[in-house]
Amino acid sequence: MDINTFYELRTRLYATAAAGCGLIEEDFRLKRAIEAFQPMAAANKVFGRFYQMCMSLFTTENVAGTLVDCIALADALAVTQGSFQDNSECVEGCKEKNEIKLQPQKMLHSTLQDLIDRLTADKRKECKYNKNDTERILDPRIFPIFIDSLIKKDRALEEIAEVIFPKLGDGVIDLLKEKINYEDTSAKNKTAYYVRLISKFYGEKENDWYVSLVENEENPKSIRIEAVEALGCSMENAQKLAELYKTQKAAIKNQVLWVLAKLNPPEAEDIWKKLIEKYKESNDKYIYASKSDICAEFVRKRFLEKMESWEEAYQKAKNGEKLSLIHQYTNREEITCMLGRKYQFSDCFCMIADKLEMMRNVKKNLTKEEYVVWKADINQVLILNLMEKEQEYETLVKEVYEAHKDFYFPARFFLALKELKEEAFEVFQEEIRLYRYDTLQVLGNIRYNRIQEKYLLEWNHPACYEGFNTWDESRICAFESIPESYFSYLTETDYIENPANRMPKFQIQYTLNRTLWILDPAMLGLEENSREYERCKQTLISFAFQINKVYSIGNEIDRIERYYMNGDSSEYRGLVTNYVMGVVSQGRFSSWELRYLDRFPMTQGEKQAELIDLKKKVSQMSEIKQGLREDVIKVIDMKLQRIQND
Amino acid sequence: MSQTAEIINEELIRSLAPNQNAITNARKISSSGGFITLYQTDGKDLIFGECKGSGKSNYQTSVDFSGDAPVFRCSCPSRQFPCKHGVAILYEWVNGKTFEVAEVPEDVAKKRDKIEKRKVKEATTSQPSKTSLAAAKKKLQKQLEGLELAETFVSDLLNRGVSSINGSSSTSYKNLAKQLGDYYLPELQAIMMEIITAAEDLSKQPDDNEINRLVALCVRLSSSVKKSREYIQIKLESDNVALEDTILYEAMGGIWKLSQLREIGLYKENARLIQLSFQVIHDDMHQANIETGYWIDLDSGEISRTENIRPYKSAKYIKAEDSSFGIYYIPDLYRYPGGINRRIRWEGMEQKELEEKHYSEILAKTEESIGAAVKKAKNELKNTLSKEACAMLFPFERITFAKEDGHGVLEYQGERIALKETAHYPETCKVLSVVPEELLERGALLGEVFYDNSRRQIYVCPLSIVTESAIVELC
Repeated sequence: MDINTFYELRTRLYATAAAGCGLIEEDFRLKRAIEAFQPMAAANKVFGRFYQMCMSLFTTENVAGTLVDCIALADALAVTQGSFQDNSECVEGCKEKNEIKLQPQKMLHSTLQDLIDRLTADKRKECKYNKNDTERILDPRIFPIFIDSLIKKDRALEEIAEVIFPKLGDGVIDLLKEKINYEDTSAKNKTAYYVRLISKFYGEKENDWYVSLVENEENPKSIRIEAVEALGCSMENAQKLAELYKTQKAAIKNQVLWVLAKLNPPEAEDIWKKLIEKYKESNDKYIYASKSDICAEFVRKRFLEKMESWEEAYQKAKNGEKLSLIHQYTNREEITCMLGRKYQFSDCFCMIADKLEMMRNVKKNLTKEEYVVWKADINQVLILNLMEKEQEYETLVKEVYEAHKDFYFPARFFLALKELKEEAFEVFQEEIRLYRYDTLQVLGNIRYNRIQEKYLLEWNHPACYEGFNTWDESRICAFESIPESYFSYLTETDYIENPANRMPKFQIQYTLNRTLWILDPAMLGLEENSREYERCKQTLISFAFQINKVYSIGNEIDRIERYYMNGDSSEYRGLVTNYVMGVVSQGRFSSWELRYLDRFPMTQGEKQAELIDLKKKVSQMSEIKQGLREDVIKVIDMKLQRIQND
Repeated sequence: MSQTAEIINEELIRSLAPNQNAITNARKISSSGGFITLYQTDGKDLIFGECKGSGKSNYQTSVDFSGDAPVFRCSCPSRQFPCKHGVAILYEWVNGKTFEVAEVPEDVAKKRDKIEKRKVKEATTSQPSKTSLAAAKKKLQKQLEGLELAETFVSDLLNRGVSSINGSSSTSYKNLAKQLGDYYLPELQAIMMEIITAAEDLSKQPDDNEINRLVALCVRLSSSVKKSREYIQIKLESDNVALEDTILYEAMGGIWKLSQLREIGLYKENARLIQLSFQVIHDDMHQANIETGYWIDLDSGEISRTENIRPYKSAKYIKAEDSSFGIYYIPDLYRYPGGINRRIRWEGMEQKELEEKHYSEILAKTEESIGAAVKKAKNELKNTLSKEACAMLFPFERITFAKEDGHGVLEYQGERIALKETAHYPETCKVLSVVPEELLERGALLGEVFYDNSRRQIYVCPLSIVTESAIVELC
C-alpha cells in the first residue's frame, strides 16, 4: 500500500480548489490521482468513503460543495495518518554548540513585553533602563532580543552588556559574531558594529580574528574599518597596524592612521615623520590628533602662526577695523583640534587665554557671547583630555588654571570633582561662588545613571575627537548619592539677598533658571519614587518656595505645580502674588498670569484673599506705569467677580 | 461573596487596572492630591469621593465591594473602565489616606437596588417569554438566510478558483461580506473577510503555503455553514430555541453570557486553577489581541484556556490581562462548550501563593504517555471547527536536541516527539535550547500539539516547563 497516493490526491484537491473547479471534467491530473488512490480504497473503510466522494466530483451538480467535503475529509485523514515518533540522533542540552545557559525568571508578561518593546523601539526613541533590567535581560526570552538591539548603538544597552557579558562567559562572542552580515557590502552595513562590540568587551582576546577581518579583502569595507578600530584595543597590535598602514589603501589606511594616533606607539614614529615631510592638508586631522612628540612640534608651529595672525587682527581692531578671522567656526574648530591631546602645550593654552581676554576688551572684536563659546570649547578640550585618565593632562589643567583662573575654572572644577568628589565643594568653596556661571555649567552635566546607580559627569566630545571611540572616556563618576554640600551650594540665595554679593539682574535670572534645571529630578534622570528622587524633589520644592518669595522668575512656580500639588491649601498662599509682582515689575502682564490661581488646590476664600492682597500690592507699586497698573487691577477685579459668581 | 475595602492592595489594583497607563495616571492623581473628599461606609463595603478633573465640576468616584467583584463607578466621561479616578481612589486607600465614615450616597444605593432586582428577576424567570421566543426564532431564521449567502460565496470562489480573485470580484465579495453583518453571523463574516484579504494579497504575490491556508479557510467556512444550518433547522423544526452545549453557537459568532452557561450546566463549583502559560496572540482575522492563558484544573487535570479579547480599535479601553503566578480558588467556574482546552471564565476568585505540593499535584496530572496524548489531540484536530492546535501537559524523562538541526526532542518511556515552533509562539524552541540543563530532566511540558502539513507529522510547540518547584514559562 502506497500512502503517498493519498497525499498526492490531497495535494491535487487543494490545487483544484486553487485553480477553480468549474472545469473539473478536464482536470486530468486530479483524475489520475484518484485512479492511483483506488487500491488504497479497498484497504480501509474511511479511505473507501473518501475515494467514493472524490469520484462523485465528476458526477455531482454541486462540485464546489463536494470538493470542500473531500478536502475536509482528506485533512482529517491526514491528521490521523500523521506520525509523531522522532528518531533523530540527539545530544543533551546543546553541549556541542558551546551555547550559553540563561536563567528563566518569574516575570509578568506585561513586564516582559515592556522590556521587549523598549529593546525593539526605534533608535530615535529614548528608552530608559535600570539595574533590574540587567537581571531581566538574562532571561532566555529576552536575551536574543537584547543581542539584536545592540545594533542601535545605544549607550545604555552597552552599559548593560558590560554588566551581564562577564556573567555569561565567552559563548557570547560567537553569538555576536553570528550577527555580522558579510553579504551587505554597503557603507550602511550596521552589523559591522558587532566587531566594535567584540573589541570593546573582549579586547585583545580576538586579535587574530580582527586581523583576519582586515586582511580579507572580500569582506565589506565597513567591517574591515571596524576591525581596524578594534585593533586599537591593545598596544600589542601596534606592529600589525604599522604594517597595515603600508599594505592597505584609502579608507582602511586612514582608519589605521586614526588608531595609530590614538595608541601613539613608537612603531608609528616613522609614519608621522613621513606625513609631516610630505605635508598634505588632508592629513592635518590625523597629525592634530596624534599624541606623538614629532606631531606636537609640528602642531605647535602651526598654532603659533595662528596666534601671530590673531595679533595682527587685534592691532587692526584697535584701529577700529571689524575682525572676522577669529569669529569663524572653522577657525575655532581647527584650534580646538590642535590643542586636543597635547599635554605638552601649557604655554599654548595660556597664550590663547591671554589673546581671547585681550580681544574681549576691544570693541567690535570679540563679543561677550563669542568669548563664552571660545572659553567653553577650550575648556572642553581639557576636560576631554582629563577623561583619558592620564596624569600629564591633570598637571596641565592645574598649571593653566594657576595662570588663568578666570578662564580655566571649568576644567579645574571638573578635575576637582573627579579627584575629590563631594569634597570639591569644600575645597573650592570660594571659587564656586566667584565663578558661579562656570560651576553651574559643569554641574549641569551631572546625570543619574540608573544602570550603575551612580551620578556621572558626562561630556560630549568635541570635533577634535572625530574618528575616536571615546564613549567610555567621556564620563566619570561624580558621586553615589548627592552630597548635602551640593544641595546647600545650589540652594543658597546670597547673590540675591546680600547687597554686597548681589549679581546683576540678568545673571540672577540665568543662575536661578539653571539651578532649578539642575535640581529637577527628571532632568537628573532619577527614577520616580526612588529615595534620591524624593530627596531631590524636596530640595527643589523648598528652593522654589524660597525664591518665589525673594526673586520670582516664573520657572519656580512651574516646578511647584509639577512637583508639589498635595500640600495644605494654606501653603500656596502668596505664591501667585509673588509671581505676578515679579512679572509686573518687568513691565508686562496678561490675564494668563493668573492661571496658577486655578491650578493650585486653594479654596475659593483663599483665592479671593490672594487676589485682594495682590491688588493692594500692585496699587502700591510706584515703579510701574499707571496704564499697566490699571490693567492689572482691572483683570484682578474681573477674576474676583468670577470667583464670587462661582 | 461580599467583600470590603480591606482587600485592597497593590496586587489587587494592578489586576483591576485596565492598563499600565491607568496605573501611572492614577498614581499621579493620588500623589498630587486629586481627591478633595474621601469617604467609606461603616462596613467598608463602599469607598467613594470627589475628584478634581479637567471638567468643570468634580467627578464622583466610587468602588463598591458589596458584590462578587468590585464595581467601579465614576461620573467622568472616560471610556476606559475602570477609569483612572477609580484606580486612584484605590491608591488613596492603599496610601493610608483618611476616609471619613458616611452613609451610602443615594445614587449608589439606587444602583445597588437595581442590581438586586435584576438578580431576583434572573433567578425567578427560568423560561423565556413569548416575545423572546419569537425574537430568538426570528434571529435563527435570519441566520439561516445569512448562511445561504456565505455558501454562495464559498461555492462561487471555489468554482472560479481561490487564486483568481481580482479587483472587481474582490469588491463584490467584500460587499457580500458586509451584508453578512446583518445576519448575526460575525464569526463567518470575519472568516470571509480574511479569505478576501488573503486572496487579494495572493493575486499580488503568489505563495503556495498561503493558497493552502486560504483553501483551509474555505473548508472551515463551508463546514461552519453546513453544521450551523443543520443545527438551526433542527432548532426551528423542534421549536426549541434554548442554547445547547455546542461549539456551533460560538462558531457563528455568538457570545455566551455566564448566566447562559450556568443554565445549561456548564459550570463547576470550587475549582482550583493554576496558570501554566500566558501569551498575547495578535489575531488579524478578528482584528484583536487575544490574551490567552492556559490553566490546569488541579482536581481534574483538565487544561483550559482563558481568552481576553481586546479589539485593536478599543484595546485601551479594555482591561488587559497579565500572567498569574498563584493558585486561584474559584467558587463558580464557567466552562464554554468545546473539546480539549475549553474556554473558561469566572467572576470572583481568591488567589493564594503556590506551595510545593501544588507543583507535585500538577506533575501528577500529566498525560499517560506521548502516544495517548497525541491520539487525543488527533481526535480534536480532525474537527474542521477546532483550533489548529491543542495544549496538553506531557510528562518527560528528558528533553534533548537533534544533532543535525538542533530541534528539541521530548522523551518519555521510549516514545519521542519533536518540538517545533508555531506562528503564535515563534521563539519558544530557541528559549528551550538555552535554559539550564536541570530543567530538561524529569518534569512536565505544556505544549501545543499541531499537525504540520508539509512534513505530515505531529509536533509539539513548547510553552512552559513544570518542575517540582517551579513553572518556567518559555513565551
